Amino acid sequence: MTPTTVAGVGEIVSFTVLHAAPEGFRSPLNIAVVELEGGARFVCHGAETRGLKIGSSVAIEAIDDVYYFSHLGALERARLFWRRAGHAGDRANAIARSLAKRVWNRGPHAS
Amino acid sequence: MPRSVYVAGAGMTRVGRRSEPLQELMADAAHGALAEAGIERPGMLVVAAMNPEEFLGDGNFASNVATYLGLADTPTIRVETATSSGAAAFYAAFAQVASGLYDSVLVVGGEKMTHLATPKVSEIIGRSIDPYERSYGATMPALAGLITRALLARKLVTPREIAQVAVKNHANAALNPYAHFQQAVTAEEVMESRMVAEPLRLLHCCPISDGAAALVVTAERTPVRVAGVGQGTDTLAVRHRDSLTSFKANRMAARAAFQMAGFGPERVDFAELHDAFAPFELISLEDIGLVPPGKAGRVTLDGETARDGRLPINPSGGLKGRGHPLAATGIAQLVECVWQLTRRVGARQVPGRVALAHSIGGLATNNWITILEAV
Repeated sequence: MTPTTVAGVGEIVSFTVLHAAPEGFRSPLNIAVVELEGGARFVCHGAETRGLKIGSSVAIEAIDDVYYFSHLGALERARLFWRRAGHAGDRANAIARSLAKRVWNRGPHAS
Repeated sequence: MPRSVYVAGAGMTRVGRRSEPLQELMADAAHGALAEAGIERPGMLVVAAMNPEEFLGDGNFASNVATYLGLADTPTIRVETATSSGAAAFYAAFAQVASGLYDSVLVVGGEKMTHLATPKVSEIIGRSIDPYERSYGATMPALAGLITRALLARKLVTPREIAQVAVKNHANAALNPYAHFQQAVTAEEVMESRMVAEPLRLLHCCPISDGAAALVVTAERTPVRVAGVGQGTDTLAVRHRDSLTSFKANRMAARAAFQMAGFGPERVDFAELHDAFAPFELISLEDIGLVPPGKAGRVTLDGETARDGRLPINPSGGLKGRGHPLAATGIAQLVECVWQLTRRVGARQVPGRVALAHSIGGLATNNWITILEAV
């Protein structure tokens, strides 16, 4: 996994749970259109749509260039925290990899 | 000044799971239309097929069909605008005759896809979606699900009203020997069918069908005149649109078609609307101006759009009941309008002199409205 960055907080424009996902995706597939402050709209995947409504505030983050939405409720915040803590190892690896890449790029290929 | 254009003949195959090659289905429909028109060799042939390359592995499809029809020496083109290809092909034929370039044009559209597995079909149809949205697994049903969710959240329609579209169109299809589905469904069956793209369920969605339809348009006067044709377009990406609950391409196509006709939606007696997903019929009723804003669900539930109502919608059964063989659909809608206007449909006959057909290309990126008038 490449670095996880929090893209921000947005609002659900609409969402669906697709029970017949196309080739290359797992069913059921949660798909939402999320609008960030300022109006930019993203299509996102998400792990959970329970309690979600049009207009709900959600967090968006990109993992491997794919955007994901998640709830902002207190419980969900805690879950998000734990999920991130659970991925601490992955993140450390990713940071190390990206540092190594940067060093490598500055090295033999430096212009 | 363009010439008046008339429909001289109409033909179509039974829609459903068909074993014949697409060329044969298209030839059946074409021969029917040519026989009705009393024409053996049209001046030109316009072929509509959305994606025979990937559904069938056949290319150069205009010449392929022309050769199969024995019209290899007739000028031939193919027209493609995703799921509205049939309506766009009809427009091309109309323009040829209106301009005076040809006196008679045969337009034939068809698709064959039931031989492939559903996920494959849905992936091929889905290639007409914006690539970024597609990269998240968005399919036509997924985008229609987003739209339906927005309709329900804004309380523009109710789940019962959406279900009624499917109930009504199945009831009409049950009287149509050309239809894919020949049986009625109840609102409960619709509302309890399995989820496809929440909140859309299986019985809200049109089936995957094979079939073909054809028309002959002429400069020579017949009982059915083409009163107006209009096209409307919109961005490929759905997420960037101002509204998810109305289609700009619908409003634009309606404006253009009524302007050409020289009258408004109040003159329309019945219509064939693109109900690939049941809520689309409700959106389109309002976008086209056939019912006032906010009333589509109510009038549907009250039976005004039923066969015996004030404004029958989809007397053929629509895409929902008749089926949706992609490029055949826009032409099949017009075949139904012609047969209705000339009183040849038996039990499902509705009264009226002005008919409207509405076809959606992609997720409402290339829509068409055609108005026919009995003269």
